[in-house]
Amino acid sequence: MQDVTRTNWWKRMILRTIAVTLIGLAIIGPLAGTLIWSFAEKWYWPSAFPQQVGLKYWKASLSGQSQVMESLWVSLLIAVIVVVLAMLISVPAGYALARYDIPWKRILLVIFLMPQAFPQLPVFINMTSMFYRYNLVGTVTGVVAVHLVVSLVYSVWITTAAFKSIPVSLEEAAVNLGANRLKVFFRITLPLAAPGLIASSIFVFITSLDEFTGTFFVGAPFIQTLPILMYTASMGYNMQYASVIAVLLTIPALFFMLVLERFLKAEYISGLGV
Amino acid sequence: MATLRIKGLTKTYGQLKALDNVDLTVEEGKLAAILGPSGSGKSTLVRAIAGFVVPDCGEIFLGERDITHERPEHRNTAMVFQSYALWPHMTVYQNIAFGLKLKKKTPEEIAKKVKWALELVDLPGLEERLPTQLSGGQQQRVALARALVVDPEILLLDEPLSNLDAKIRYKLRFEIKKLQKRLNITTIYITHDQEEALSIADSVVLLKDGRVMQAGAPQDIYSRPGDLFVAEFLGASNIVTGKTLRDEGGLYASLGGTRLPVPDDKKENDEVSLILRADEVELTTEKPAESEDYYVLKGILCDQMYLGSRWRYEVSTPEGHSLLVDHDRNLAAHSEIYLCISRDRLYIY
Repeated sequence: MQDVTRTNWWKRMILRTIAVTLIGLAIIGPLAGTLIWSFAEKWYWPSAFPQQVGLKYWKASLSGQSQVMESLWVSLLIAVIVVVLAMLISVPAGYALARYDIPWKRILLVIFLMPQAFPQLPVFINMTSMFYRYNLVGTVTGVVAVHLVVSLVYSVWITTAAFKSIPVSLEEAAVNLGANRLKVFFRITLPLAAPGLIASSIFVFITSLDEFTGTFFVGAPFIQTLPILMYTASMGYNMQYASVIAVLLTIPALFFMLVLERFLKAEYISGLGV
Repeated sequence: MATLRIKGLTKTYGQLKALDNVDLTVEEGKLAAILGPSGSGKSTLVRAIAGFVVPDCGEIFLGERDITHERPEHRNTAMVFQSYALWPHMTVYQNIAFGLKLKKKTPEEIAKKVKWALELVDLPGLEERLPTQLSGGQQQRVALARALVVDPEILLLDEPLSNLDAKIRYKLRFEIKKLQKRLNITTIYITHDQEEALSIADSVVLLKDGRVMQAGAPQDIYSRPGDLFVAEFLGASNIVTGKTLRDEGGLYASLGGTRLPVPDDKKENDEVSLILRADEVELTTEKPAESEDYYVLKGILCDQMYLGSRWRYEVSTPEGHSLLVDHDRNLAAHSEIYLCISRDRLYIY
């Protein structure tokens, strides 16, 4: 009887170990591969490991005049502009959606969702042809506009949820003691919604930093953001540069994901249903 | 501090009349309890006074000032919410100081006033705590301090104790009453708890479906409930419904083998309700003498429950009704007993 349970236990452990290893490989594998590639100075097939390891490509990428650095600044500039614009739109929009009875509220939210609902490629191709008419193709403005379309969905939804999670009575208590609307908003509502707004900004920032498809159609080849440069590099079989960029792009994403986890409260997620 | 006068206040939400022609006066320094079941419009009433609800018609006067259409931030009312509504990102000090800062007081004045307010609610030394570090009772005291510190003309308490457990509720109730008397501040106290209303108020206003059913001093309203709803809401342990009967002596109702008068507007075979409170009935084993002052009802003890200080008996009457009656001694089951009830304590509707 005991032997049977013991064999079962071993069987379970072995199966579990295999499963965990496979899942781990699936997640860590490509990341580890990218990391190794970024340090590989020579790596010829079929060797399992690089023949020569070093910081050559990192140095080249991070030197002041390199294309990688140039793209990094373009990417950061665009991301910051997108965050600012997205917040300027979603803070008032989110507050209004959370607090007021707006006719067609649901339809409004669906409109924000629209670009995500369709296959992205035709949406971007259409946008590109529209942008040609207004001379926006190949400009920072055009790329910012595309990024906004992609990220507004998150930012409006998260800010709406953030405002909704603040009980109205907290605002009423302030009004009751003599605060006008502006004071209530800046002293009560905004500080309380801040974690949600920060979470929303981070989402937008990362979305903009990693956005490829829209940027490719509207911006390339004049606007070379990091993802575009990475694509170009990997298409030219320059795996080392592509990998360096990939690692560079992962760092802020990882960092912010850790921050985000602290800010994104469960009630924001549940508050999403408007 | 000022007298509050409300005239013909009406508010409708679609088909629902939240307030229906409400008249109400609360004299300076008095506490009025607005009592009613949920959905009776009592919250709408207090929110209309605070300015969060715009009435369809009617007037609200605070002293000589017509505040019906004044902006809520200019009304100088101070509200305490059921949920406390303390700002979680501010310390106790900052919470209480908020209203004073808006009034452009100097930091010294603010510090002095906050200290005064915290002593008032018996919470000195908690200035730097965050609301989440306080118990529910302490949070509500801070909310009270925050409201009182701005010297409001009227204090509005919207079910302030409903979220607290019974023991703290009981204690805070009397503290609020004492504070209110000490500061002599006109106060509206919203509650759905009849005992709370009766024990704390100078006057009780009973609300149902947005209408004032009865208003008056607690003793008056308790001893002379105007209708079935009021009597029921103020805690009636026994409500018996039967039919009116007729004999050569005219219309009457029967309970415990005794003939009881019925209201003049009743006809034969109409429904009639009799209300009596368990603690207002005297239970005896010997037949009492006939009297003009009380009715004597007959019954049989069928069940009993020990309440600690007394026993509560279930008595069945010859008509088949059962009544709950309190008595301080243990009696044998199934014995025949008599119930004595003062004539003005048996309510017939």
